[in-house]
Amino acid sequence: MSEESAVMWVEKYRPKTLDEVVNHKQIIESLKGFLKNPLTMPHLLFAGPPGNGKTTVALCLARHLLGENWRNYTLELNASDERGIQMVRERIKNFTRHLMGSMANVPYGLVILDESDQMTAEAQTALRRIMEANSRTSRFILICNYSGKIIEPIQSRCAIFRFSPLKREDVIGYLHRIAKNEGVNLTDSGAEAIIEQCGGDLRRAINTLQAASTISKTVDKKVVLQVVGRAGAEEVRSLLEKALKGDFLKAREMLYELMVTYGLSGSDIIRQIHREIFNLNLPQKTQIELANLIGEYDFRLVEGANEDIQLSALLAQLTRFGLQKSS
Amino acid sequence: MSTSLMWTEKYRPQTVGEIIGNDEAKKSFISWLKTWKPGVKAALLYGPPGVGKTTLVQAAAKTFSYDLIEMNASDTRTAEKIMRVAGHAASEDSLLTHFSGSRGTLILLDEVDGIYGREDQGGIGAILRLIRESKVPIVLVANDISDVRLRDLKNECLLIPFHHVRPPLLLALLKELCRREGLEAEDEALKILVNRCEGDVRSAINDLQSIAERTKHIKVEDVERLLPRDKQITVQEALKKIFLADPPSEARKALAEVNIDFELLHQAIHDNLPYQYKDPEDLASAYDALSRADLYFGRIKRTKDWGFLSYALEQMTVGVAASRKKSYYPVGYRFPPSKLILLSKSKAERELKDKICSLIAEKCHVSRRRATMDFLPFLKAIFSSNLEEAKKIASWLNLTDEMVDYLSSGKVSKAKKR
Amino acid sequence: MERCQKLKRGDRRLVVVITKKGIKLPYVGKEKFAELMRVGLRYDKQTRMFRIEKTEYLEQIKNVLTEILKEPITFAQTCIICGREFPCTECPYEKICRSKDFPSYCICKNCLGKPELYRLYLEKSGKLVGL
Repeated sequence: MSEESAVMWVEKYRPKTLDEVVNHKQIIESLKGFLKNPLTMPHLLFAGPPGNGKTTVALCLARHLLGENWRNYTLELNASDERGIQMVRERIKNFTRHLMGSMANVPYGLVILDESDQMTAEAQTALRRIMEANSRTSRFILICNYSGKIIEPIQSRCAIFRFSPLKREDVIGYLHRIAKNEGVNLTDSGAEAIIEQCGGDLRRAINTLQAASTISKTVDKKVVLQVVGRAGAEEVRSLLEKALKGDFLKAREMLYELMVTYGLSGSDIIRQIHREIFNLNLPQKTQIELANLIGEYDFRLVEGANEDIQLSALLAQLTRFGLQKSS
Repeated sequence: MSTSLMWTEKYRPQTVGEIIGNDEAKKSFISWLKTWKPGVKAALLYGPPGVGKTTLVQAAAKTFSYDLIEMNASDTRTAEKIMRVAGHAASEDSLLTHFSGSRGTLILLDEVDGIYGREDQGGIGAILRLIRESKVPIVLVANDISDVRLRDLKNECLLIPFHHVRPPLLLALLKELCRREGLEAEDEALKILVNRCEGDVRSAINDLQSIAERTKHIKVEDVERLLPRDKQITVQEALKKIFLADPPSEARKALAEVNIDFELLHQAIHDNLPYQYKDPEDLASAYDALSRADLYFGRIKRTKDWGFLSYALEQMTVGVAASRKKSYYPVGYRFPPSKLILLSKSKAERELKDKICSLIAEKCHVSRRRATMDFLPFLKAIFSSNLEEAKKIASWLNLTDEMVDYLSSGKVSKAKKR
Repeated sequence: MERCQKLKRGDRRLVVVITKKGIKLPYVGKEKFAELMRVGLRYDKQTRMFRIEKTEYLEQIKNVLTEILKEPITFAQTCIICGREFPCTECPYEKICRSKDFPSYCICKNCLGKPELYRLYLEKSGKLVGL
């Protein structure tokens, strides 16, 4: 696969070397330290919110450490896609066995395990043993959103790097650079709207920009909202309105629709609801009360087992809230 | 990697060495599996429910490190699906096994006796072809194979009969479970339990769990209090009991009388709740109880501490019933839950979406889950507004015509030939 | 009468014991053969032995075989713990057993009270299965 010909902008503009990465200066410096003597590099754990460059940095590091043919010595796995730890073990076993024959050119093979916080504690315990068994031939880079969801024994075996959320101006700068290169006129209101919708998630931001640019070469707020509308934002708003007006059943039906048909995750939806609260025509006092309620259920969503029960429960609270306010 | 709250799942044997009973069957199956090579017959495991047929296959796959592909044989499209998966696995396996020692793939076709319940007779023929051509071992599982329509299939298989598990073995198992769960039980009580479950390990464990919900010292009366198996209440009746329990503490009793996974029951309560508690006040407060129950379920999954189970069960039954301030009449209760129905209705769509997301995942270094959230909605926006750009992306991602149609119209087109 | 033991009983009559390995019978003729099939026996051409496939008709199997062999017969279980062969009649759980008489592995009355029976059973079973 040639990266030059990438059509999706997230790939086309993904940095290839550590020097091209604009953010995370301190992390990049420490990682460069390992390049001088690759054998001193421990296993790594990259933690941070989605879309802020963890995978990119891991891939850049792979290029630096393993050279031109880095793909041959790198195994990319995704914990949330593999069918159980057994499969992960098998794939790593095959990978290291295949490495054995060609280790002359590289210090070790790299296993990049993305979304490792999606694994259960049991699977992580098994993973720890796999890491130990293969530590002579391989280094692991574990990527996760929350390092707290990684078991202690794994954390203590890794150098942990926390990737802070991207700054607003950094994301805007990034978007403008891409827009210029692609001959797209990104207006200030357009850039603001993208940030509004995507926060520091650069992946979502770039995808929004690309989708918007296919509608119009001038990307302003209106075009962005048109794209985001298709990505479910409109539906989230009308589901929120239904709940507050007292139509719980309709609201829940729309919720299911969003989860099943649009494939939105619970936390996606709850974040979107949170955003929409402040667009509603309500007193600020009420808005902040509602936001607090949403915060509580966001927490329960993380702690609980079943997303649609937690989200429906939130809708039921909103329905009650709406009726109390109107009476 | 989910953890169920049923003891039948909690104590499901993980290795062949943990399965009780049917020792001849275990022996023939293992020796068949160990010596299988292309050309050898498939294995057909048959016998009454709950004696460990499927468990044996799953445990053997783990014990001897096979990747297990499980499919329901009575699904008409199974044969075609297996052909694809198995055909693929077969060619890859020979290479893999060559230098990795990995044993490759094992295919499990469950509910084979359900095939002829369908109109199309093509089902059995397809499975026969599959057995003859397969490069990987296939195991079929059935309850009853006396139907004449299964004759050809039987000829192509090594038949491995399973029988009711013997009382001494069941007793040994129940005593072991009592030990692990910190229960004390009278011998006579366990004997009645064994008699009641008729050699079915699954229902013996279920019964023990439902008694343990009430007491840690199991006496004969506790077992006798269990409803006769055939008099167990339906999920609908259980829902009515929970929603309308008076006093609310009665709601918990429904748990002992209904034979269903607690989490599925939790889902069913959630599904029916708004149709029953019409008052928003009652609804919100009952939902709060369901949400709390879910927090405990989450905690159990993370910590593996089953001590939280009783709190979860309390919230989803008594907690719900105690939220009721108005009075209600029973309504028509729906089961299975509607979200599950919705999921199964749009199966074709979900499958197509999964395939698209796999392609994205590969090219863009993300998981399928992330691809669903962070790429799919934007691709839909692009594909519905700009054909030029869509074409480029389609060819870069290697999307099929069907996928392109879906992304641009949001609908799954009927198998388009070109 | 290979692989079929003859045991002396108290009444000094010979009893043919059918074990899980199968039964070898003299030539029985077409009609009797058909009857044996009907009650749930299967004939294995390789070992030339009859095996019990269906367990619903164990009583009839007993009757037909008694007729053929002209000797009373009984079924034997093999204790997986100690290896002893024994009839179901001596088992305290005979009345509640759903696969009674079917020649198979089980646990005999002498071994029932052994400590850690569950672990012991899994150990023996594992060996038997070839783990």
